[in-house]
Amino acid sequence: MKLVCITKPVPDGVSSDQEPQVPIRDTPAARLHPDDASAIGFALEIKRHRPETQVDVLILTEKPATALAEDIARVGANRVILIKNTLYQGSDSLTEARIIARALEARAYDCILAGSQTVEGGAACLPPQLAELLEINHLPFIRSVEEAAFSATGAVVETEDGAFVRRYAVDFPAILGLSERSGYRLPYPRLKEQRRDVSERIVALDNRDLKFAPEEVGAAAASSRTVTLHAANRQDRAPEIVDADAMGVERVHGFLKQRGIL
Amino acid sequence: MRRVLVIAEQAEARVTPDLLEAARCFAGDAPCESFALVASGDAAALSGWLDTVVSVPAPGTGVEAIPALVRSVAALHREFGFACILMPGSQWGSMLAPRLAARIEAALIPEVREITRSEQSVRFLRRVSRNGDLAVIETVEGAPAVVTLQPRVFSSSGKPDRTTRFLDREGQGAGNSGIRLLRKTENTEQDIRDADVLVSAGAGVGRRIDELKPLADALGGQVSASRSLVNQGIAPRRIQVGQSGKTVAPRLYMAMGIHGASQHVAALAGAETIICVNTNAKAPLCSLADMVVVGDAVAFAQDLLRKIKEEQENATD
Amino acid sequence: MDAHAVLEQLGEIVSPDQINTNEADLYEASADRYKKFAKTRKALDVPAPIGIVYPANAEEVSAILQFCNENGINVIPRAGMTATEGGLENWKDITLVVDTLKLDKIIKIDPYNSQATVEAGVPLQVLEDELRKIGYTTGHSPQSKPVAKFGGLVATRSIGQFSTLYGGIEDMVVGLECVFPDGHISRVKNVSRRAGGPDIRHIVIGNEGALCYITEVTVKIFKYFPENNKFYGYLVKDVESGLKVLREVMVNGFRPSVARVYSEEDAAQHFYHFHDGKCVLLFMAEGPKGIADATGEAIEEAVKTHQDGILSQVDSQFISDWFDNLNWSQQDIDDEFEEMRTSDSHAGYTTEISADWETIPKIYDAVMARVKAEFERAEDLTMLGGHSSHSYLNGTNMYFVYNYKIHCAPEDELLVYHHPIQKIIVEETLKHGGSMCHHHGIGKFRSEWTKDEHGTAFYMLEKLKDAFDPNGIMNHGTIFPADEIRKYIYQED
Repeated sequence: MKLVCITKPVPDGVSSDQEPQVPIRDTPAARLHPDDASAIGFALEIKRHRPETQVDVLILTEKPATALAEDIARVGANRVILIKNTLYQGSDSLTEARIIARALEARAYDCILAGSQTVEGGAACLPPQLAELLEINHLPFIRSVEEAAFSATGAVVETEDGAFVRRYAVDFPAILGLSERSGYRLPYPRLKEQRRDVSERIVALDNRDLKFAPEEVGAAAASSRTVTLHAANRQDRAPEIVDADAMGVERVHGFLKQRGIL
Repeated sequence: MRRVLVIAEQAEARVTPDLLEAARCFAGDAPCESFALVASGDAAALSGWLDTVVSVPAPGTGVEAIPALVRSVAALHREFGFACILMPGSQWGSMLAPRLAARIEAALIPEVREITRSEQSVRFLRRVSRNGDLAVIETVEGAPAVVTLQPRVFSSSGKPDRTTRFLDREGQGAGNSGIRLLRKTENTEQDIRDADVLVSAGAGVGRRIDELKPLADALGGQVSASRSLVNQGIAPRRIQVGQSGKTVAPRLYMAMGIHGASQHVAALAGAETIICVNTNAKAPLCSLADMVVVGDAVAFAQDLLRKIKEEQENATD
Repeated sequence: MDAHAVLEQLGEIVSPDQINTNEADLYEASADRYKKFAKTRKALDVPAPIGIVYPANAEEVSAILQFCNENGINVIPRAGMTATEGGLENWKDITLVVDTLKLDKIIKIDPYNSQATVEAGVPLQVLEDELRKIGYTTGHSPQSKPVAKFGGLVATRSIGQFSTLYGGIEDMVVGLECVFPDGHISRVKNVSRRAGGPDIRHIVIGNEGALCYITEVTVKIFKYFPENNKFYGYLVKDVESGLKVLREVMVNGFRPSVARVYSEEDAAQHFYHFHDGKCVLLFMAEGPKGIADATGEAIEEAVKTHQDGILSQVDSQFISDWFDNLNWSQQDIDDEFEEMRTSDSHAGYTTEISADWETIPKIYDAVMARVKAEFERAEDLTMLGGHSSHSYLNGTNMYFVYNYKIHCAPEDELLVYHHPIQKIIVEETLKHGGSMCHHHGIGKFRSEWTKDEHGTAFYMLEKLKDAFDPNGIMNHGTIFPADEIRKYIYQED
């Protein structure tokens, strides 16, 4: 069985269970989104039970991520493919999907594993766009996978949204988007493991391999742009104080309407 | 003339008012032809709301039908050349939109909460970080926009006053899509991390936590709790907001009788709007609120609920 | 002697219900809060003790210790289990934990003589609750108050949040009873003062279970006047400005029960509702009305004297509210475990040191600079700061606080994160002439620096160990450095 995990490292401090980051030093390391970490953790768990499983992890990165790649190799990935090129900076999700699609051209896979959500908490766009380019199925928000039924031809999974839990059978090839809530974790290598040389399992790809024209990638290829950015700052707000009387009810009601909640 | 297409969630089988409103915002005052795509749904129900309603057969109503639906929309886009395609920001919409954008090489703009048209351009406002930063997005010259809408932000003000033409188009490939729904069950333990609105109980509410449920329902949200109620065994840990509970990012967080220990606040960084109801206006959490209501939380919840109900009844009269 | 034989023979000393070999309880007893992350993740690298024994009186303790002493069995005395420095961690294959569970009686509350006598397993909270009923207080309020027990408080030289007025536990203990490895039971009587040679209470207070086992304690009790409490809070320019006000109040002869200054970072986590990105200075004046009022005036005067460093005054209700929510209950501790079980981050690692007024700011600045420059995982720190919370005539303490995200295997957390930071703090403190442990004790994780802490006086400490515990059965590795440091701290094979 051949599994490919795709991930794009994010700035640190995005785990949904972490306190807000107050950086002490301005050199944040490349970290995985917790959903992506779950996807890789799941692939390695399958490999643990079925050692013949090939797990490749493909990392699309703008920042140095060699240490991250080595750690993933040390905990069991067969190969870690690093795609890094300054030419690709500022690419939108569709361009990133194209880059990954091209990197996958020469590789066989039964199933592609990815995360479900973005750093902001919205649905991840890259995996479904990659699915469209590869013309395969995509199923995200997976909260559990039937490990015993997982094979080179398909899987049985459970997804969750606000209202429903759904159980699906998925034929491969397909992209499965895991959620952090699946409980799979990417283990860290032990300290003493970190001396082990894994460089032969790291593959670096750049544009010499992928051969995009400059206008096909990066900001130049993006079909939308950010005009302005409004940073939220809760500390600066001065709350309006009302009493819990009829006027207070009126005021809160009006406020909820104004905010589009009612 | 510009053309805008709205796609309703198939499982819902109707075009919701917020899609129509978003389409109106996109059109602005300029002439614009509005389309709806109805996949195996009730096209007639849209009579008067849009200029054109297109019906296509669909191989299903869930995620298994998405690839076929993408092809149908792409074919329609080739025929009519939409400037904007709108769909709900549900899980279904968030799976459809990226695929469609990839297929027709459109700009993908997810979870939009405001659309404004000027002479020169259309701008889309969306949240871009967990702590509520917002960005204004524009498409580059000529690129169509595929947009999903943040739930419950667009409210309808239009009337069914158009002459609607009805078209039928062929489906684009049905058969076995490779995904089969085996079972669908109600999510009995909804995750508070998914909630748009949280009505959250603290020590000031105590055992009366259940009395907040009707207000949460009326606001389309869920009830959550602070650590103190979990520690007292009044609330289960799965609804606890805090470092040892869950980190949440609702649009509205109503903190009912919550003091606001820092472990609680750390899990609230993503909450967009905070209303504190507390007998003590100096409770630390009040310092982070948009609005502070001084008084008993449960009594206030009941009063507010009554007001909401009254308004709703007046609106339906 | 193997584990089976030890337990069998132990069964002849105490009854079966006094021996606990439940696997989960033994795992729990393997380590304390120092390795809390690894412990929560079920990734402890130390051996579990073979049993937990619950003696019911000093005579049983005596028999157990004698048995262990004769057979070279390591003993970890335990009460309350809130240790943070590895004092309760086990480094030996054959270890018995001797717990104060059954030593739980309040023997006497004596308001006329202002003292109370308790067995070592009485929780501080229980005595405090009893005293409050008659208008008294222990004056001792460590954050662990709801959980900590007297044996542990005395053995670790604990201190409470109101120490600036009431003193540390060493100022409160008037007499005690303890048992030595050879089975000898010593009673230090309860008197108002004595000059009968060196004060031998201090051989027992702070021995961390490395010399003897405490079975009974008599402490001072104080009349309690909560109605007179006065609270003061200020935003100040920097830590040093705050320290100057603390010093001013102290050297003028006043003793507020609470006198604290928080760094910007630490203030942000405690006082997000008013800190405004600044350092926070706060006081509580306590005692009979005349004293509380005079102390309050002295605080206001000191603030005036150093007003250059004061930015603004804070609503005093914020300060009093905050004190009402300060202590850690067992539920808080359970909750922290739940957090660590599910998330790769944790708040609330600390290292506390002390020095004179002049030196404290130097140590603080040196530590901050070194951690930021040298600590390899500095980018994972979500908080690095500190506060001074216990002041004296000649100096104060500094409580360094650091939170971080944990990006390593749970087994490595200590060596990757906590230990390197603690090492910097200890090194800088010792270099500047301070004490590396203000109130958490040495435990096992600061034992590698015990000799540096005491210098030529280590001679005295070493002689005590040789004399009282010649076979080295008492809490192996605690206070006195042991070879296992290489294995259980530095992971050398």
